[in-house]
Amino acid sequence: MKIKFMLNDRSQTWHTEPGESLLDLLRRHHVVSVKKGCDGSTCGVCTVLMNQKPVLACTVLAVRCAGEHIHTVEGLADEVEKISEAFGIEGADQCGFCNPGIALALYALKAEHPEADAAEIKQYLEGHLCRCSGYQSQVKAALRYLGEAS
Amino acid sequence: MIHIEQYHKVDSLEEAYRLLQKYETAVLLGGGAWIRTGSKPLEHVIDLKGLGLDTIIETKDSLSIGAMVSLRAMETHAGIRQLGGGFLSEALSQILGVAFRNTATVGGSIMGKFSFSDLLTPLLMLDVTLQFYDAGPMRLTTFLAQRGRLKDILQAITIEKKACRAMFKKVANTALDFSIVNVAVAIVEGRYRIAVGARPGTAILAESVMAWLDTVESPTEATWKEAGEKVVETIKLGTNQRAHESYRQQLVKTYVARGLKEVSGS
Repeated sequence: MKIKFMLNDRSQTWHTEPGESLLDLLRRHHVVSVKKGCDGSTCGVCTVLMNQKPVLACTVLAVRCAGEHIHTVEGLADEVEKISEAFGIEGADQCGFCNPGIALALYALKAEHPEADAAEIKQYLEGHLCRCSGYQSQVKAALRYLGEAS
Repeated sequence: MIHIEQYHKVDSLEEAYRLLQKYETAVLLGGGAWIRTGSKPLEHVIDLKGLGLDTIIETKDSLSIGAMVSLRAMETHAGIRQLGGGFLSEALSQILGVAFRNTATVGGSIMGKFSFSDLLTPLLMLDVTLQFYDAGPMRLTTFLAQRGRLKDILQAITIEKKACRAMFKKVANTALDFSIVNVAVAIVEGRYRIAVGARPGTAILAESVMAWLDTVESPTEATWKEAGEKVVETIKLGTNQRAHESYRQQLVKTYVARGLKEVSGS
């Protein structure tokens, strides 16, 4: 079946199967910032924005994206640049595998709760696993990003 | 990829219900978040998206939550944050991450009667009625007590607003893990409620202990401890790969006593 949806503000009409996840659909079309990690709703590396809200692309059936607006980091370059800068300053950037998912979560957090404190950031980022950082530097980077963004 | 033979996008609840009755193995798709907990191929999947079941309606006396409302929307709703001091929002906030809760729905989380559910246990502290397409209204407790699969469509749940103080405790190895056990305790209009979930069976009320507590005139610290012991005597706890029965018993005793102390303000 074919589905029509908006990907990074561009209309796309792609073929999918009923059981295909949004993650597999995106990666099949070379949207590779969306990583395939646990593929089981646990690690957060496949996070994308659906209608501006973070969702796990591995958990969303592609067929249900018809008519929806999907954003990945490729479509939010200006804002992701600011997040990357904060990550760089705070040393939150190591292997980088989890960064796209966390960047999109922070972008959503800024829209939802721009004055979030460290505890609220930690709670919002639960579900994003990082095997490098120990998370402290990422929370600092998030505070820097939100502080500069507000 | 999940094996789905036929995906049905429907335009009305009538059509969804007709297909549900037509195909013996048909599965309703809420948020789709839990669909991967099963490993069997799915012959017919009926999508409930777009049928207007995704709104929360608050009145002076109740909250009506559509079955397709996401767990995150429920968690962050101002009216739900006020129930019982916010214990329900707090419980919801402990279910995986925000991105998962933006997908998982209230209906899918209830209809699955999942043994690991962190939603059913706190909901048992409240007067909750499920609104089904065909069967009409049904108490949550009645639904949970039923065996087998109900071939009906959950449209919404209604929570009656009542004076309530409540607490919820989830015990898990990590924030992202399923509960080893969970406990909810409340005083609703002066009467005690206690529920235990992830036993590993589905959440259940400790009704005999609740009735006993209502007869105690001046409860003390010893009452709360005794209540915890009575709960593990009356509610069946078991062993699975997450925890042994004896460990669950210790957890339940402890958190029931602490919960009663907390909600009673003693």
